[in-house]
Amino acid sequence: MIRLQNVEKVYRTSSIETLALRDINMDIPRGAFISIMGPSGSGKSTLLNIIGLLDEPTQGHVTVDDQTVGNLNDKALAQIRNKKIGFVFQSYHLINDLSVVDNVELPLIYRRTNATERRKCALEALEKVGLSARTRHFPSQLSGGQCQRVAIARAIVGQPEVLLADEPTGNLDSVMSNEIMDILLQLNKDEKTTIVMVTHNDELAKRSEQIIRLFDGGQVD
Amino acid sequence: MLKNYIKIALKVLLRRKFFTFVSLFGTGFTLLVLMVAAAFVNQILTPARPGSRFDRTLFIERIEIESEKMHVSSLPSYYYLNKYVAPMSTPEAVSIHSREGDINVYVGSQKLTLGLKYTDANFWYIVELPFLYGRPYDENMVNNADMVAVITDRTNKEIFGDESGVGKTVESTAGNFRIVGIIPAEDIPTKESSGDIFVPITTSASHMTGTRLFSSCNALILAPDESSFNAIYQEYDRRLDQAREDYKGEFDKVECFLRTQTDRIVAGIMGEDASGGTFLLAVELIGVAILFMLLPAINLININVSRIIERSSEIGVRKAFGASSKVLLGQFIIENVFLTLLAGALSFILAWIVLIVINASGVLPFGQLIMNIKVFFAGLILSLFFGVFSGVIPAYRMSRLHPVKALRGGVS
Repeated sequence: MIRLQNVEKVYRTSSIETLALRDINMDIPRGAFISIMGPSGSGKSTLLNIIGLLDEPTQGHVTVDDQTVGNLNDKALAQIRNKKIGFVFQSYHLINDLSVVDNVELPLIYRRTNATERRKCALEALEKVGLSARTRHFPSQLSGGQCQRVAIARAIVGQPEVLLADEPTGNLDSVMSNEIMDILLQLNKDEKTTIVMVTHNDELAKRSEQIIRLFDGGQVD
Repeated sequence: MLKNYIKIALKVLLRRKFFTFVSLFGTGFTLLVLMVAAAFVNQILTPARPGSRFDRTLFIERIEIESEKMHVSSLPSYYYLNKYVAPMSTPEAVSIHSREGDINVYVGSQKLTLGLKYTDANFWYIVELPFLYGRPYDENMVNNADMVAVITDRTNKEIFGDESGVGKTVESTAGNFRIVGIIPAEDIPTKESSGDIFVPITTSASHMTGTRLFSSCNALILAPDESSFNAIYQEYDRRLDQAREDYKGEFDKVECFLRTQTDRIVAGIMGEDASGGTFLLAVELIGVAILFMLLPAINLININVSRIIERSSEIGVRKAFGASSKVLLGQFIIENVFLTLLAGALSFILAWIVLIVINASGVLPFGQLIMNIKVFFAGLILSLFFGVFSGVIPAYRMSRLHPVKALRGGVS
């Protein structure tokens, strides 16, 4: 579904060049659950951003459903992200001015889904993550675990084929982390959603199908 | 999507109360000043009552005479206007009236100082004021030099209290006049037609007997329609040439200006000899208005940049979930336009209150400041200009932000 070929990412400033990723080749098949692990600075988040089309490689190719994305413009990339990819961030990145249900509706706004349909889908997504009782709350009124559930609901509301989670349990205790992991596993099993998760947590990573380890920007196994 | 943008805009405004106050005050106060200024300009340039005959009235109010021994720039005399202007055939009507002068009126033992204006009967036809009581003096009364007067409601209140003075006599240093009509002071459209008491010009010995070309009179010339202005100008030029011919040996120069209301204002600001004055004045006024608006707009750009930078994480999230740069640009511009329209609405209400206060204070000797539809739309366009101008630069910059950098909360 998503293929990376010879991907390299270099960050440049006026005086320094930093090689963040080198020679990455990977296939992410439909329905897979892949964990990406590695020490801090190994390029995990950079890799996830390139998979999610939030960043572009310095060299190499990324294809989504056999379509090379390197030449696509801002609008076309935005459309692919909107329709095919969902994101879950470590620090949730919820919009504090919006209620829980309004946050969850966000991806559907950019699909121009009508308000009734948006609300229906958002409530369904919130039910899947067990937050039906908190739809009118604001992010500041929720616990960390609840915020991450909202973030997952937002990521899945548009039924994306791929869900990219960047350390989704990084800010949570072990109980909450397991609950979030359960939700991700259930989505992978029931909805056949492809999941790529960056994590430092070995226990959680072991629950996924495949682990990719990075070190110094390179793939080690 | 628009509803969602407005919802976000409202929430951002409520969350950032200080920013909201600064933005609303900056934009609102600027618009308030512009709208009150526009109401003043509107009051000067156009008749207070739409459709008034002032739309097609020309004015003669200045004469310049030069000889070896003297140079005079003054108001024309009744003699000059009656001899050279009154007989004109192209106007629908010509009125000659004096400048307002002070007289004393005696009410019992009390002395009031009031503004007296001498007019002919046509004055009432051209100025077209509504009468609260009675009627204007007519041509017969003027020809007979009847001692009759029209007074304003303010004057009536000062002399007669709450009773109508029609039919009663007012004693003044200019004579005793029987009151035939009462007009509302606030409906007097211009400074030139203002006064407290109006009497036939034929009752003034000094105006009737003088033979100088200059004194203290004005003329109003009512055209049948605006398209006949040129014919009136041409006839007036011939009359002026005749006056020059008549005074050839006595004066080297006789110049007497016939102007529209707008041209009079322009001449007052740009000078009597300014060529292309209306255009230059318009350019100057627009230039001043743009400068006046530019300063708060630059401040608003700064405020908007800070405000949007605070929301860089939100920009990253929106981009991650499918918003293109163009869509985000639209969102931020709509937010700014919404904020500015809100400031515009507030300034409209404040301007309305300010105009009521100015009108009620009696500061203006004539006319009323009004918030008419022209001022309203000028304000609305200014509001939108502010919103787009102050929002588009930061919005463009932030909409181009790289999504990863935005998610990290960074801008550079």
